[in-house]
Amino acid sequence: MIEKISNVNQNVSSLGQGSQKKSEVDFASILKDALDKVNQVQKSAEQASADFALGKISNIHEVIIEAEKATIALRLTNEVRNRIVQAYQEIMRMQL
Amino acid sequence: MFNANFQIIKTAMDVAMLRQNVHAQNVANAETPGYKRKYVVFEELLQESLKLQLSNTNKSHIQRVQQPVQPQVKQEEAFFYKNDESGVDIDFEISQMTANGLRYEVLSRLMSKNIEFYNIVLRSV
Amino acid sequence: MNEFLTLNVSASGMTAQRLRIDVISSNIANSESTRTEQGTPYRRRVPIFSEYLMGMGRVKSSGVKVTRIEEDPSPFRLVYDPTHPDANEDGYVSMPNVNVLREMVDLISAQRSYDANVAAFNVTKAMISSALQIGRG
Repeated sequence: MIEKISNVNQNVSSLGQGSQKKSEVDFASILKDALDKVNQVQKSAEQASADFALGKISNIHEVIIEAEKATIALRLTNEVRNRIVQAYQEIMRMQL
Repeated sequence: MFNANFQIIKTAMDVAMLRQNVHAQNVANAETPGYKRKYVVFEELLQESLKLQLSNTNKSHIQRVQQPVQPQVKQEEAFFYKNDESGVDIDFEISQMTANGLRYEVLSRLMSKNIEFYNIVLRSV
Repeated sequence: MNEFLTLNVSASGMTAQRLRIDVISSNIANSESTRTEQGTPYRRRVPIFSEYLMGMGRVKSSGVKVTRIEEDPSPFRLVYDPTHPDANEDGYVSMPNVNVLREMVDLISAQRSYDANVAAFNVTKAMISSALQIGRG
């Protein structure tokens, strides 16, 4: 997840050399990609929980680790989303 | 709005609590003459119900009412036990009961995690 | 499923085993008593356990109860001791039909059963406590 954030930084700096329109689209798709990855972690944690509840797996540590990973991923994404919203609001204030 | 895991984990907790009750009965009656130990069947019933549902999709003209699977308490046939004893092995009951209790605690924690997911997103809105 | 019913089931087990321990202790204490209030030697006592249905719902949980305390009908031990004040004409004394070694084994078994019910009670209590933690932190 942290690699994804630093990837975003790299991509944004390399995009500065391209056209303005194109960079907006690329940034959105990178963000979407990161969100998909988080969603995947979420889904795998949900699946592990369900499997444990139904008796298919008995690996307690596996389930708990998946659940904690998903929590971290979700918290991180939440922070990123909040920062983006904050940055957007700052930019909107600047224009006025 | 709530994901499926809320129901799945809750059901698993219901079954574990029922199992706990049955173990307690067995331990209390470990010296009751003629008592036959009780146990809970659920996971096997769930597997069968899932198999039925899969085969259902092939025959779409047969509509089977989807009842949620209920756990069942059964009692052992104790024809091989002596009349003045019960069919209860205390050590077995205690070890099963301890494992069952731990399982319940893990499920409780998983339920908390499930709730936490929603809370993380909701708090920052 | 009512968790508190489960606790009560275990409590009934504890009560029954505690009563059993009392009876065994009484047997051991009176293993040499040749005179009771009835005038006869002490007769070994046996608690009779039976299933005791508990709960308010349609499906009941089986607790346990000591429904009565019976006297062991097996014969008294005859011990040859003419000097004993309760000896009969032939010099034999009727001693209680209590085998102390057997009572000790029963006592250990009763203690173990009591502990098992306590363990069951504690597991149920731990489960209830962890359910109370759902959603907290």
